[in-house]
Amino acid sequence: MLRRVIPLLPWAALVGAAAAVAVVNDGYVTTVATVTILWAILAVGLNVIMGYAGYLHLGLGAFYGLGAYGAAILAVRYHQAAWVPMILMPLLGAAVGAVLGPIVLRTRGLHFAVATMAIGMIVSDVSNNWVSVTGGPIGIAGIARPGKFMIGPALVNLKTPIGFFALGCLLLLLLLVVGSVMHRSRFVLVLRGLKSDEMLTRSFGFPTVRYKVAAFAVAGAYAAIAGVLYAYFIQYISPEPFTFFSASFQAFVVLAIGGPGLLWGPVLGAALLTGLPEILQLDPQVKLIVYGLVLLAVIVLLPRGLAAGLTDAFSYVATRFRRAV
Amino acid sequence: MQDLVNGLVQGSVYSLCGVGLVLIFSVVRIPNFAHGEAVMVGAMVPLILIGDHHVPLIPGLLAGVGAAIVLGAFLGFAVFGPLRRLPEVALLIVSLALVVIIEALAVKFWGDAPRTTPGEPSGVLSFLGARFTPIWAVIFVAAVGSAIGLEAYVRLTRSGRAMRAMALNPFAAMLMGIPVLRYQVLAFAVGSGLAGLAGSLYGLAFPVQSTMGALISLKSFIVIIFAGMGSITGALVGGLLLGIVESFGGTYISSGYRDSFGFLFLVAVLLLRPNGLFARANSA
Repeated sequence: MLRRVIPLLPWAALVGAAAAVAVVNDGYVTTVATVTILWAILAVGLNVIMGYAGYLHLGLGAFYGLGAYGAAILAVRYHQAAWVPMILMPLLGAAVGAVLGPIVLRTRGLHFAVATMAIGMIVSDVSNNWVSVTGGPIGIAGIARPGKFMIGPALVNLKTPIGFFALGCLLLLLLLVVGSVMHRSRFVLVLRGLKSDEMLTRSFGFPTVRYKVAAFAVAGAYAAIAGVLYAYFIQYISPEPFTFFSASFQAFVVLAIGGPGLLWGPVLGAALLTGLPEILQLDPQVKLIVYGLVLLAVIVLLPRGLAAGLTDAFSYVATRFRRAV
Repeated sequence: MQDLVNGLVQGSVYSLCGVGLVLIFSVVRIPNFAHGEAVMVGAMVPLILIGDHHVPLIPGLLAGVGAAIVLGAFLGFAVFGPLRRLPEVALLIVSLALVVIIEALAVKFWGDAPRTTPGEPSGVLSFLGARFTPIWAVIFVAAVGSAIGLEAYVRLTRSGRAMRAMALNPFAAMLMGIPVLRYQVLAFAVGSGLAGLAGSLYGLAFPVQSTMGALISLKSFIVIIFAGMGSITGALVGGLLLGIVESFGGTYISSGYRDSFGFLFLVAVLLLRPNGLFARANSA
C-alpha cells in the first residue's frame, strides 16, 4: 500500500503547491512561481542529457534563447498566433540539437562541457550583434500574449498573471508526464548504461551515438519550450537572460542541486533556487555571495542532490518507523 | 601585420592563463573555473594600489601577482584540499560557485567599471610596419618565458617530477610517498601566480574590470583543450593561436563577433581532432 502511494506524493505536492499559488493569487507570488516553472522545464530537459547520460551540458542557454527569439520574431514580425512558435520552436530546438549533437558529442567530460559552453557563447554573441534579426542589445519588445483560452472545461485569461501561471503549470505537468514515461523507458536505460560504461553498452548492440544525440535533442526541445514560455511571459526579450551565467549555468546548478538522474530532482532544485533568492531580500552582491555559499554547502553535504538526500532521509525514517512498530 | 601583433599580444595573455591552468588541471584534475578570478585579482590589485593609492609601478604589479598566488594557494588548500575526492561534476559546481562568490566580492569592494592601470611605460616600438607599446613586448616575452620556465621546472626539478608523477597517477604517487596535498597547493599557487602575472600586465595595456574572470576562464579552458589538456608548450601555442584567430576574425569579418571566432575555431578543432591539436599521452 505504502509502496504504491509514495511515487504519487511528489505529483500531489506539485498540484498542491500550484493550487496554493492560485488561491493566494498574489501578483508577486504568481510571478515567482511562473519563473520556477521555467527553470523546472529547463532542468527536466537537461536531466536527459546530463542526469541520465552524464554529459555536462553547459550550453542550454543557446536553445533557451532560440526558443525565446523564435517566439518573439514569429509573434512580433510575422504576427503569428502563440501556438505556432509553441509547436515550431521545440521542433527547431530538437533539429538544431540533432545537427550539433554529432559534432559536440564526439567529445566527452570536460571537453564536452567547454564545447557546449562555446555554443552558448556564440549564440549570445549572435543575439547581441545580428541587429536586423534579434534587435541587438535592445532586444525585441511588444510580444502580445493571447487572450482568453480554454483549458479543458476552464476558461483561462492568459493576460492575467494567474492565467498565465495556469498555462505554465499545465505545460510543466505535461512535460513531467513525458519525463516520467522517459524515466522508465528503454531509452533512458540505454543512456544510463552508456553513462556507466559506453563501450559495454555499444558491445550489446546499442548505437550509443544515436542515443546521445537523441538525448541532446530532447534537452534542446525542452529548453526551446521554456524559451517560448519565457517570451510570452516577460513579453520582451534581450540577450542578457540567455547568457552563460543567467541561463546555462543556472539550469546546470538547478539540476545539480536538485538531483541529476532523478525524476523530481529538477523540480525540487528549481523551487529551491528560485525561491531562495526571493526570500533573501539582500543587497544584490551579498545575495550572490550567499547563493554561492549555499551552492557549496549543498554540493559538499549532499553530493547527489537534494532529491537523493530527501529520498535517503525518507527511507531512513521509514526503516526506523517499521522497526519501532 | 598589425593584426598579427594584436593577436599575438592578446594571445600571449591567453597563453599565460592557459599555461597556469594546464599545470593545475594536469596535476590535480580539478576543473578550476576560478582560474580567471586569479587573473582578475592579479589585474585589480595593481589597479587599485597604483591608481588609487599611488604605489610605485613595480611593487604594485608584484603585489598583484602575490595576491593571485595567495588566492590560488588558499583555494588549493582550503577549498579543493578537503573536496578533491568529489566527482568531477561536483568539482565543476564548486569552482563555478567560487567564481560567483569571488566576483560578487570583487564587485562589492572594487566596483565593476572597466579601467586601465596607470603608469604604462611610454614610447612606441615598431616591427615590420606594426606599431606596439613596450608593455606589449613585455607581455609576449613573459608568456614565452614562463612557458619555457615551467616546462623546464616540471622536467628538471625534483618537485616538478613529483607533479608529473601525480599527473600520471595520483594514487600511485601517494603510495610512493609524495605529499599529494602539498603539491596540489604548490600547483595551484604557481598556476595562479602565472594567471596573476597575466592579469597585472594585461591591466597596464588594456582596461580590466571585476567581472572579467569568467570569460578569461572559459578562454583558458579553450586553450588547454586546443593543447590537448596536458601540454605546456601546446598551451603556449594554443593561446597564441586563439589570439590570432580572434584578431583576424575581428578585423576581416566582424568585430562584434570577436569572441565567437575563438569558439567556432574550438568547435572546428574538436570536429577534426577531438583530443586537441597537440594531444600527447598524459604529460604535465
